[in-house]
Amino acid sequence: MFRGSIAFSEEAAQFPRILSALTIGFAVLLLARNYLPGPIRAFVAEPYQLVGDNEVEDEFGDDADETTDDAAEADTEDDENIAGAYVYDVDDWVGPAVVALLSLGYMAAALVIGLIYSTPLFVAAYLIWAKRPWSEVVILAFAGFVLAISFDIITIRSVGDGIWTGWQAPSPWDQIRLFLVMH
Amino acid sequence: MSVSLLLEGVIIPLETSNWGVFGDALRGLFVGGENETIPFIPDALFYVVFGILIGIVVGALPGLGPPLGMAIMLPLTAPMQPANGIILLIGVYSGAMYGGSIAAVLINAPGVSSSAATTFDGYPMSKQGRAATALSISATASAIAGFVTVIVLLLFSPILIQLVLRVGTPEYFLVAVLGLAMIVIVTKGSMAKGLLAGVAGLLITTIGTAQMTAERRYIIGPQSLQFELSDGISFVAVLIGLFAIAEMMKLAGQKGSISQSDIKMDGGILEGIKLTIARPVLMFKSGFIGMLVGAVPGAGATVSNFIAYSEALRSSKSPETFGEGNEEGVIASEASNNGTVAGSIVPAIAFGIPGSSSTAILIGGLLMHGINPGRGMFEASGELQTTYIMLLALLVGNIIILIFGLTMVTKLGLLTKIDTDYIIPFVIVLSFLGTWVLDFRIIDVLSLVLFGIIGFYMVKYNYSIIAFVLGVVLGDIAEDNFWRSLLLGSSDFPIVGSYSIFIDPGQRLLAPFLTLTIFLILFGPFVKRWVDNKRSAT
Repeated sequence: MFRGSIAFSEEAAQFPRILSALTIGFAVLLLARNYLPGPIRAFVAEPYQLVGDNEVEDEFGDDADETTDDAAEADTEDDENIAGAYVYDVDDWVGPAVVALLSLGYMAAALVIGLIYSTPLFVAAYLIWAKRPWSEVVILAFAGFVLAISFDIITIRSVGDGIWTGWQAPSPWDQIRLFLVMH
Repeated sequence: MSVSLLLEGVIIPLETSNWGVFGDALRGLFVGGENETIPFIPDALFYVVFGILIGIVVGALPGLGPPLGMAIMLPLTAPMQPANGIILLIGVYSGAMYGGSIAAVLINAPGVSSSAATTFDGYPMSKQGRAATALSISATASAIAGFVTVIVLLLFSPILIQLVLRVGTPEYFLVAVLGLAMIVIVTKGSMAKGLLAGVAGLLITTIGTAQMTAERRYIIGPQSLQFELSDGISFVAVLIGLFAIAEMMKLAGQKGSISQSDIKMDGGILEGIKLTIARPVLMFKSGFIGMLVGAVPGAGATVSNFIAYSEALRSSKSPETFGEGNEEGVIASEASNNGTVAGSIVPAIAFGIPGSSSTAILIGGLLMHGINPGRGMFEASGELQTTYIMLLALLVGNIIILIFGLTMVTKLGLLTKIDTDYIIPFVIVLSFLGTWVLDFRIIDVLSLVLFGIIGFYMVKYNYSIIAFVLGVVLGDIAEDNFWRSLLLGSSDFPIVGSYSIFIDPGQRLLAPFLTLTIFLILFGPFVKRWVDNKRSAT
């Protein structure tokens, strides 16, 4: 983004240029935190808290030759010991990965077939992964379908059209009518 | 016409013309207009009640909390009148702050991190067969402390108004930076990580059309995406991603947050009310601790609750019983919890600086409805009525919390039994639907998922999410004020040129003071420790 800002006029470039320079600066400092001297290392790597306990060990200059792994471990421990810090405590990494993948799948499906039909598919996929009984999968997938349709009814634009493709889903009402006619 | 108010030797004019605006706000909330959605019930009042109930449910569900509830509701407020939309968000915020105590007391799993202190004594009370008493204490302390702190805020609002109206463009930019600095040092660990998060958030807002020259910045991708990107990345989509998708990813990775056993609702509701009312000093002290700490950007309810709890422990006649079901611990934590709501709203509406993640979303709600935080929120010709309606909604909300909390106390345990396997897919579905109907933009859906995943890893690796949110929400305002400040600054100044406006007392009196404060906050402690270390070494 720093490079990109060169193409803008001075007025438009100033703010993003400063911010991208700062981003690069902080990122470089963080990457090199184990090799930084004294107060700069404290600023970059050590936790500091104005409110709550702030018993950070003074390590200026003492551990400059620590191995990267040790320092990273110490860093993580420091982070975990901060009072009031909000850090995720995850027991099982499969869950977050599945939610992320299913969300990406949901997004892809919504781009192609729209949210009305992708919603029950997503709900069902999650519940199947969570090993819920089939009766729950069916009922909750239907609940997801109803939720999506209710958004379709109250909003000005269809929720059912493919977001990217513009593919128009057959109206659920037409489907029900067709089903009734066929049977 | 004006009267004068003596404040620390300074005479501050108190505009009585604002009383009319206050009266309009009262009428808007309690009387309403002719075209109300539900006959005889003002829309504003309906949205307060609805918001509080939604908030209590969201707060009580383990793993969810005020920011997530507000993020999900945010796009749904888009078609509403701005005041009603904001009232709904305020209701969810206030309700969820109370709701968090339900899971804390009943299953030792606080629905929100701010209720963590409530678990210390609330859960032992449940194990002793006093769950209903603990929940009744929670409702009473939350409601009364919340009510009183909002009253104090309303009483002091004329002074606040005068102070805010004296702040100019360079100061607004510096206050935004100061807020970022405060958030970085108040919330957590490494400052560089916090600042990196904040700066990255600001950087994201530079994507799109530049306000000052109408140039298109960082527009890439297919034609349809380029068209959407010229309007920039929607901060609402980013907020929903950060608070809904990221939180659901976290929830899917946690085990044991749901109650496995039947919760018995024993104990007396009246006993809880009596125990709370019998300790007014503790309750009000904790409420005001919450209010003051809540006003510090980034501190939020978690910090204020621990401070209030520690103070209750320090001043108690029986400190040895804390952690074993001492009702004073629950009173302190819960009174502080809802006191924080009033406090955190002050910097949010006055300067656009969120005191917590929830107020960051509230600011997002204001901006989404075309209301800019800042002086306009305190001008009779601007949005002062909205400000008063927000505060009055908080006031009414506390009464609703009291009524609902006490009457439904025996039923609230059911909420903690809802399995996360049901919560996760539906929160994600609501996030997608809400984000899409917001503006019907592909980029919003992409942002939702992208920032959800990024947000998860940011919190996991201790990069301040609230600093990032502050950057995303305030980016446009910060750039606008930054640019205008440079236009106002004298370019004759050596070396720094127009930037002198931030450091030259001759141009702006307050701006150099703010700049110095920012530097002292960020670097002062480290320089001091370094100097101390050098001294002790020699």
